[in-house]
Amino acid sequence: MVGRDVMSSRCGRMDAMLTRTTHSVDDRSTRYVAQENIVPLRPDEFSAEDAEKTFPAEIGKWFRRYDGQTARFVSNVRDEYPED
Amino acid sequence: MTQIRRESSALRPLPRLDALPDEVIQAILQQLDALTLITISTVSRHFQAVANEQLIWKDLLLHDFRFWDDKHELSKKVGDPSFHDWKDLYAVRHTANVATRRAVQYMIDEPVGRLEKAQGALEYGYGIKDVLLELNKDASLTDCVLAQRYWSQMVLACLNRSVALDQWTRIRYRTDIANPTETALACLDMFVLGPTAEGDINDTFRRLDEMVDAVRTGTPELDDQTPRQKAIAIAEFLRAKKWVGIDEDRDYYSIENQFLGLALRSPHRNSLPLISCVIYSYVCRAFGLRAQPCSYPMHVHAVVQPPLPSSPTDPQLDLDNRPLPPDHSTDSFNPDKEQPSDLTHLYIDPFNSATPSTLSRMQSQLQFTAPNATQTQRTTYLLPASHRSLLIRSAHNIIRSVQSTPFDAAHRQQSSDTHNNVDISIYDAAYAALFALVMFPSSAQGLASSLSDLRQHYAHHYIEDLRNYTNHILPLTTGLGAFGGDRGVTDPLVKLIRDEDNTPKKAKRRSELRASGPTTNGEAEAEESGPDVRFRVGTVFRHRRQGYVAVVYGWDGKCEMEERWILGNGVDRLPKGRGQPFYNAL
Repeated sequence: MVGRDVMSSRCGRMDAMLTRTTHSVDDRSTRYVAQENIVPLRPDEFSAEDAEKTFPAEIGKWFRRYDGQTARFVSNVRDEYPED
Repeated sequence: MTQIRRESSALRPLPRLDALPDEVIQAILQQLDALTLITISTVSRHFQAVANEQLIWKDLLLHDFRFWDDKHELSKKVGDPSFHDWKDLYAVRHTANVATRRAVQYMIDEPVGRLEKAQGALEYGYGIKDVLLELNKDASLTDCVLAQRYWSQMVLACLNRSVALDQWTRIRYRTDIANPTETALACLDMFVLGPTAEGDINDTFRRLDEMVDAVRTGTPELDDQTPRQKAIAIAEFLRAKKWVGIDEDRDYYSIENQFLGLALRSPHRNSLPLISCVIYSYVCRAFGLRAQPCSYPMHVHAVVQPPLPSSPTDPQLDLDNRPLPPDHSTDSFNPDKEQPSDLTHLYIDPFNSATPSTLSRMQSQLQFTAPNATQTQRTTYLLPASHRSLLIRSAHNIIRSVQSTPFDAAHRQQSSDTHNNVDISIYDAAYAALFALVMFPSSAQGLASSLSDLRQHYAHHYIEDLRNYTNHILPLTTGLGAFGGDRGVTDPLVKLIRDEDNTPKKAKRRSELRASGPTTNGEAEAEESGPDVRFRVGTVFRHRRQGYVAVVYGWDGKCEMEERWILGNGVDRLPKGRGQPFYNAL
């Protein structure tokens, strides 16, 4: 169950849209996931086309581009996570 | 055109080029882009004189810039042969472009002070839409494609909204606005446009006018007909073209059908009764009729009336072009006393049918649809509705649509409609409706409630609307208690958002976290005792049990959610519980 979207109740949609129950700053289609549930993808499992299709434009808030070689997005939040 | 320019700019200056007649040089220079033109003007005094020719700059300006802020009064200048400052105007637009490019680049590169930069660019007005669309389109050519797309779209969305808010403000305070209903509804579209050149207010009117032209061409006999015949013929034409109404397989409350501009530009042109009536009424007016949607309960109809006589001494004609009987009570020049009448009021529901309803049928149906309405209310339902009440009704429709959008669709964040090829965020739609309800409140209570919702949206999803919020919403809240921001007094919410934007974020380092550890006695064992944050920002992963793919954009050493969330999601039942690192994922 961990990592479920925080605004999951169907009733009171406006309220659900408005209320932020997480401490995180961005909550639209975001989740909060335990480390043990994370299985990183290898470059051959996630292409640049996948990267283009999978994520909404909001991704640009945190990343500069997708690097297909390493199957990682290039961080644009080095100020907050300098070692990442 | 670009092609030609590029080639000609590569031309080497030919010998004796300046010996050609000025007209020929001018014709050559006309093919150049602005930068080349400026360069060539430095070659010689002769070229300088020709290159400064204002008409060259006028052509260039109209070619290079599609979007114009009202403040430039472009159409007035274009029609004014004595206006000679085209080159200066080009310089003004160019300066705004350069500043906007810099602002977006700053937002991409610098984490602190982004809001401030965005607001600075927005000051230039609607004209910067050209460069923002270009930045969005050309993002893929840069090494920061995602960031450039995101930040340029953010400024663009903000800019689009500011245009809507300016228009709504004009409509609020002035009574001489042409087509206020269509304008008011076209403003809603500005909130859901996305990074496209289409669909803004001007485009919506352009499409409405195209529809009028099509009706004119398709029914050439229209001008000779009586108001009643015209009203029916127009409804028949629009229905036959399927430019009003909705396809049978379409979801009535689907959010795409709620917006005038979207209805006009999507291939299937589905629209709700209200939107259908707005389109229909606009076309009717173009053919000399008076037409406006009326706020009939449950289902908006259009009420069509014959044109007013050209002078008060002329007789008012009825729907069949006959003079009204002398005892007829309609006082067309005094709308306050207006009473609907079968002779002068025709009711059409273009959404369902081209066959008009009579007043008596409309009245008798009211007994079922609005049994408790007073006589005055019933009369109001049958008279042309104000643009204000139609906007409010539209806003309520949008909110209802948002609330009934299936959770799955909302979850994907987009209410995606592959059929119509449009993508609208339900958040943007709701935000549009809330802004409308705050700008045009139906009651003090309603205002307080919409304003509270709007502030939440602003604070959580639209902090970039700093300028829009302070310019348009704060002045309306004076004296509203908790949310009241008196002029000159800083709204604490605005201050908070500003301060956050100007404060560098506290850096989180996995190495420090690892070293710190939960033990507080500071012994040597602390070295490796902290949480081991294994995955980095940018990691793409699959959720071990739920299977979805997401990307890490942040992390905590342990679960930092509130207790309620932890218990609700059964975090403690996980083998490693709440003490393990947790990741923010998109």
